[in-house]
Amino acid sequence: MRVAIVIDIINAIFEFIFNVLNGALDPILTQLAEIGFREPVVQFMLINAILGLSIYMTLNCGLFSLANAGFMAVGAYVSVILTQKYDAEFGLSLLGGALAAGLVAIPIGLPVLRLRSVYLAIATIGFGEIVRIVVLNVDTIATDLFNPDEPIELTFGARGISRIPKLTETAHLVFFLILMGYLLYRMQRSRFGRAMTAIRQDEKVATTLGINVVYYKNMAFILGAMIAGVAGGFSGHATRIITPKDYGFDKAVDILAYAVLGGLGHWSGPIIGGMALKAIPERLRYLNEYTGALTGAVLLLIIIYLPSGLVSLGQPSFWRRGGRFEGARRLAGIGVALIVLTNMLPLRNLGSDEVLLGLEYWHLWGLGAGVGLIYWITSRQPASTGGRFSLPMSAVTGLLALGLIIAGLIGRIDQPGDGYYVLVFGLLLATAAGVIPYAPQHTETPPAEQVEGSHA
Amino acid sequence: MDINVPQQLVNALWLGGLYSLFALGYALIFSVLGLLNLSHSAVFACGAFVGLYTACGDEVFTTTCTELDRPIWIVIPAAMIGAGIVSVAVDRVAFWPLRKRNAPRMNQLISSIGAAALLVNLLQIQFGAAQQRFPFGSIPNDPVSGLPVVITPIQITALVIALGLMFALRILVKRTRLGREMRTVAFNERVASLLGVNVDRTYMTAFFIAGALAGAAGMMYGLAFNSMTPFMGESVSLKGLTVIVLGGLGSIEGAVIGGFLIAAIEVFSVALGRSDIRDAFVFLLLFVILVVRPRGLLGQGVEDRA
Amino acid sequence: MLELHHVSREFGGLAALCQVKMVVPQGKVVGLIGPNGAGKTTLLNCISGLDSPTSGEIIFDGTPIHSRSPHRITALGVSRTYQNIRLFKEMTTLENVIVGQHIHGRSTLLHSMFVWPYHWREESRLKKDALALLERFNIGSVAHVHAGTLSYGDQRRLEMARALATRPRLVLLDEPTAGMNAVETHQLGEQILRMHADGITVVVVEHDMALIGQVCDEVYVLNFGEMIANGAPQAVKQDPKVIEAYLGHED
Ligand SMILES: Nc1ncnc2c1ncn2[C@@H]1O[C@H](COP(=O)(O)OP(=O)(O)OP(=O)(O)O)[C@@H](O)[C@H]1O
Ligand SMILES: [Mg+2]
Repeated sequence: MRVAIVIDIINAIFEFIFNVLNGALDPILTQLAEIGFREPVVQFMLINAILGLSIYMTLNCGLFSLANAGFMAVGAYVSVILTQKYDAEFGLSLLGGALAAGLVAIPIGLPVLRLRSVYLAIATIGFGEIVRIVVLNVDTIATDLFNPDEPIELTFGARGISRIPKLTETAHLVFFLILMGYLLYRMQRSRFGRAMTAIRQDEKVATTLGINVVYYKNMAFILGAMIAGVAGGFSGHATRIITPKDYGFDKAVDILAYAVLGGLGHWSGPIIGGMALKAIPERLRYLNEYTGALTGAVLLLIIIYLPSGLVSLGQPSFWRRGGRFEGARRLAGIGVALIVLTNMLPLRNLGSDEVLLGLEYWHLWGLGAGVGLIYWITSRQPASTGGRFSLPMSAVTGLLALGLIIAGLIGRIDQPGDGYYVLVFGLLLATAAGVIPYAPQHTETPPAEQVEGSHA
Repeated sequence: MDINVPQQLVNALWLGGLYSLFALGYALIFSVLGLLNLSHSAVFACGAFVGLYTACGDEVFTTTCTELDRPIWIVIPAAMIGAGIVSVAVDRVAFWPLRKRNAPRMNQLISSIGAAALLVNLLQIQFGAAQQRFPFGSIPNDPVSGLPVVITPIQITALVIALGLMFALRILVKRTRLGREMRTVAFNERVASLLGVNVDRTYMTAFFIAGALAGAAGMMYGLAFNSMTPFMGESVSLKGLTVIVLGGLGSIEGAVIGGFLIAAIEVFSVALGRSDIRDAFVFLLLFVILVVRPRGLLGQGVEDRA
Repeated sequence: MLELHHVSREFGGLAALCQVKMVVPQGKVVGLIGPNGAGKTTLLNCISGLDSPTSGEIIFDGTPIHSRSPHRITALGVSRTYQNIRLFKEMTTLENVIVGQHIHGRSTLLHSMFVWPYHWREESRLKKDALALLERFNIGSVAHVHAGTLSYGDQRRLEMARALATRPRLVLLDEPTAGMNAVETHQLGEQILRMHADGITVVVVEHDMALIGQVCDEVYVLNFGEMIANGAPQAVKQDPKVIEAYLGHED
């Protein structure tokens, strides 16, 4: 009786939260759909972001683990089986998926986390494959063992589980992502998180400072597994069908790419990276057969020019001239200039339905304005931070940004709303990139030898 | 259950030859750069397609290949050289810029994924996603007569070439100056450059050799199964990884032994009728080896590498 | 306080430590000297648990510690610094010390997630203590600077501050003055004497004989893994075996 009341209250609270979130999300989703990111795509961007966080959990502790696809599979299958076979509530099934993944992580982590770097990576790949194969064969094995007369059907082998109802809502994902973001944010400012960071930076020193390395590594592994399990549950209920091959080696490596591309210097990196890796191919979809190749090329460009990930775009030093990121900065500059130029020329006669490079021109305005603004804001760093103060450049780009925003505002007077979104989009981009607090992991500290040499 | 043991052994032998050949490139790059080059399987596929193109000409772009323009003994070296060049290009584009910046090894892993995606998709653009094959009858498919086991000439060729290349690589690494330079670079890049070794050229050579081996493996894989798709590397990429872990990361001999071992496990578990869980055996073995003996069968000490 | 009985450590065929006997009395500052490669660092590694002896016993306060994991040894009250500075370079000076206070915190992930008042109290307490420690080593002004960017001397001092943050009863210092000038070395000697005054037992590995004379009550001499002499600093300096060990090393 009491339990029922408590559950009702919890349900009511969640319902309220999701209603509020839905209200806030609706206009955003509409806008995103207009620029080509329909709701399912957005959902997978968010799921990727969660996966990115799940691997960040372990990487942040110095563990090069690729087990997350396997844990995702565990979470997906457990939660889908819970809702489909046992009519569990969606929230409970997610919890079940997370717990199952966490439970699997315990016996795996204990022997495997002793391994280092590539060895750990490969062992966890092996684990992922074993999960995949077990899911593939669990029906036949269970039937053989328990009930040879009547086939047991849990995972349906290679065919996978199909006709899964779409229970995942964007609001759920946003809520969970915020929750996890908060968790990581708090974690990095706590004893728990500091211990993990210490282990990543120097495991031996950490242990002589009294940190129980085995405990923390396993905690990171289990927490990461649970987050991946939830992501699995969400993704299982976002597609209509799940099959074992969705969670293989490729997925494992993809998840790593989310985190590395986004950047490991800050917990927002994996979120950005996960979303970007879904958004980029989506954005390039109009190129048809060239999409894959171009996505690969973009991946290469990012990893080469931004070795510490996309979050370094938010680092003031990125926008400084002659800095570490000079190459990337120039590339971005050229890209923006090209986009702006190609869009400025046909300005007069480009109708609202015309597209250039697959982008409607006002999105490019927004992008140009945003990048220009960031450039403007961040290149005004005082000289004392070590950057050369480049007045002409910042003035030019500042004016350009301003011009772009004004153009965006008045350019489409006949279509009210667009200019506003250009402005918002630009500003959002600017604030996101410029204001995200950047945990300076890869700041330009002189290499240790240099420091020592100057004193020896 | 009735297994024809000699027959299965023969099957394991030629398949193992291909696996070893493929894994050797992996092992070579790992031993010289300490790097898992995940684009190796894409280079493998490139080798097969370069070979196909050499054999059939422009025809392959539009339709399927109907007749061979050039004989097999030209096709295989062409595939090796082509794949070698691709491999060097991958190094220049995906790894060299990162090496120059001293980026973490994990970044190199990701850039190798980017390179693999790029290559596979380029292949797909060029040759289409559909399966390509050599014209029927152009390659001898009838088993060699007079033997107690069933084996086709192409399988024998594959095994002979694989063994020959392994032997050549062994001599190259152990006996020549180039091999010595490679080992020095593998030991320590800084020391090597102080000793006057041209580190960059050594890397390029290593990539060329690794690519050539992958190309040969890819070509012969394509010939033996008479089927090529841009994605053919996927089926061997994980296997190659397993092979080098089993043999000991970075160990050349280990890669050879591991290749034959994995092939044997596969062939026999299929023969035993449990093809569904044959991969489970392989990965369970991988997992156990790593936990019990991380350095593999023939590897030396475990170092910090990523 | 610390006793080593027949401690040996072999690397392959090489005996880095051979039947080492050593007694460190409570509250004393004990020096450990010896030529390069004598095995001093190996000895400290064995005591702090990073390495374990091939044979022999290490007793700390009556507890055998030679097969304990390092974090449990630290919890017993042993702490150390490193010859080649090993700071958390990507953390700030202050954070380095706060990590050192790990065993004196109790707050868990849940505490910090729910912003428990307990968590705040503990955080501010740890921060206050850490800042006091930094002041003590004159590096309070660089508390929020990344440890990797500190000057060499400051890095050495920070290592000591971090070692003290665990509130040890025994501190192992591995060449704490390497690379410092005479003035800095002397100041560091005073810091060691201050630890001594606080009742902390210190084992210091040093090449600088001036510092040894300044701080040590007793000196042990290690050569090729064997303890060849011990006694008061002045007496040891005159010991012919020690002179031979050093001269033999020089040519
Ligand atoms: N991990 C190891 N593996 C193999 N040999 C080692 C290892 N660590 C130390 N040694 C060897 O043990 C011997 C003692 O080394 P150790 O570092 O303890 O000397 P040390 O007295 O600290 O010298 P220094 O004054 O140069 O610091 C050396 O010969 C060294 O080469
Ligand atoms: Mg030493």
